[in-house]
Amino acid sequence: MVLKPNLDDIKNICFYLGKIMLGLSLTMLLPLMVGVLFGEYNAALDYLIAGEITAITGLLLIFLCRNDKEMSWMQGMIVVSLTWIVAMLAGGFALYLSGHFKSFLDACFETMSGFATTGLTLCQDMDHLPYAHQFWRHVTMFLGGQGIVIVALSFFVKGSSGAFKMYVGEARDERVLPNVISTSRFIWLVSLVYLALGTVTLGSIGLLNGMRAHNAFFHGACVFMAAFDTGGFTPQSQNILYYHSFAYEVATIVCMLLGSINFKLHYQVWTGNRKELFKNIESSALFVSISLLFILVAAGLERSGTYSSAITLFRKGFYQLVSGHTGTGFQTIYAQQFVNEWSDLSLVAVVFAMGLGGAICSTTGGIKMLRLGIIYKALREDIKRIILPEKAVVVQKFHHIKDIFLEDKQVRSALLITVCYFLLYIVGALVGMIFHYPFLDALFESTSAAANVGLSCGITAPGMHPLLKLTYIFQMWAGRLEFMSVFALAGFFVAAVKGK
Amino acid sequence: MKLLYMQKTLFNAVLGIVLEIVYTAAIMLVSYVVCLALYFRQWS
Repeated sequence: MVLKPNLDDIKNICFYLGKIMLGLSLTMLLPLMVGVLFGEYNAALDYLIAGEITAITGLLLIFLCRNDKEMSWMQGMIVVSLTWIVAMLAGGFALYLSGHFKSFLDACFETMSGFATTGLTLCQDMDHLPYAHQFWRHVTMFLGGQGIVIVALSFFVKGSSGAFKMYVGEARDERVLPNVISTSRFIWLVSLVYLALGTVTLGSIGLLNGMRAHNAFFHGACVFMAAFDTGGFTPQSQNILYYHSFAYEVATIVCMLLGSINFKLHYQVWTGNRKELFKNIESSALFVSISLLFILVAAGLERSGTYSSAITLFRKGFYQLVSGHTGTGFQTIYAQQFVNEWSDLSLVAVVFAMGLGGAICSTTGGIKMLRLGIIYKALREDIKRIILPEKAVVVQKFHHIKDIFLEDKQVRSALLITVCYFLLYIVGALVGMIFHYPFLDALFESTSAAANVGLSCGITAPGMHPLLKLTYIFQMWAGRLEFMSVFALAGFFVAAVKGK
Repeated sequence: MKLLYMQKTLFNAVLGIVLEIVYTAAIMLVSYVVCLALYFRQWS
């Protein structure tokens, strides 16, 4: 029997939602300050208005729904899924006020793309977007990469019981440290240390390439936030192609790969357990997967004769592959070149890379390396069972921080999420085909949205059909939350209608 | 004692960061060798 949610359930959900909205409104102070700093008072006003509305709504929810009740798993999941929708609306409102978006839906698409670290964009005349709005687009990636709820957990939520339920709901099923709030703070520490290093590196390269100092470091910070959080926005419409710099490309490849490493692995390596980087199933799987898929990409490009030298093949082929595999979405080619110049073999390899993603508990999307490793180990176990005598005991284990014996429930969970991702990729492709896009193009764009990548073959544009925009928004949201919170929200509405 | 512990922690973190960057460089190197191998095959 399904139980109908009562008023206390709704009050508890709204109470935590209010707290997170208050946190979100405070993050809008960052673009506001950038606006004031660069003398863009209109843009700063946009964030004052949007921030005020978000803060007042959050405070109202906190005061109207204040209670001391413990949060249930269901409530935690619902808070997370609603948080992402509310963040999309609040952040989208500020961007819509900029006048650089065709409609409010486009601004919401941009914000969801930012928070979900996707990187697909519908911004018009991006090269003239004010610094404040540019900064906000990249901050959404930085916040979304860590997890919007983690931001709130770190500063606003006391007591770790409710915090853990929201932490899990945001597709982070691993704790780096025993306490979930310490885990959130460690995630921030890693991100901020790399933010400082990345901004200085990219800013210096920009300076050496002739950019003005304030522009070089502003671009450095923005591009780093998008690279480490595997987002894919850049301050220029030409994306990374704008910089025409091999050093910039290498630096962003390093940032993208660092962003696709599990935060738990960062912790181990940073605290002296350096061998873990080579033993861990995820880092090994990522290494093998990128290398194998690159052979396919390179073979496809070599046969089609698209690039005439090894270094050009590396700069174009490897860059797009790593960008896709890590879920970043930076491009050093124009969107149409994917369709017009790349062979089908190379395109399919990039689609696979996008679908697979990086590590669990990192900022990437997609199926993820741990699940791929578990499925591979399960397959090996089954093959061994067939080959070996019936009485032989077959035990399979894998190394992820410690040696773990493979259990059926791990395989089941990995397969379930993998199937969900495949369904999401295919559904998006079918919707694309309804709007007359060829299958491979539609699959490419759909996988890019659902795995939170951001590479585009040209379908994503302000003129695309609103239904397709909504489909991609849903894909970005469901893909980022890895389905469970989305299912919980759907279950909540079903219970509200059919429950007793 | 506390200073010594902090130094060790910092040393481990810096070494960790360097190692992670080496890991990314290794991925790039393998792929670049693939590129070279493909083009070497074409020339020979």
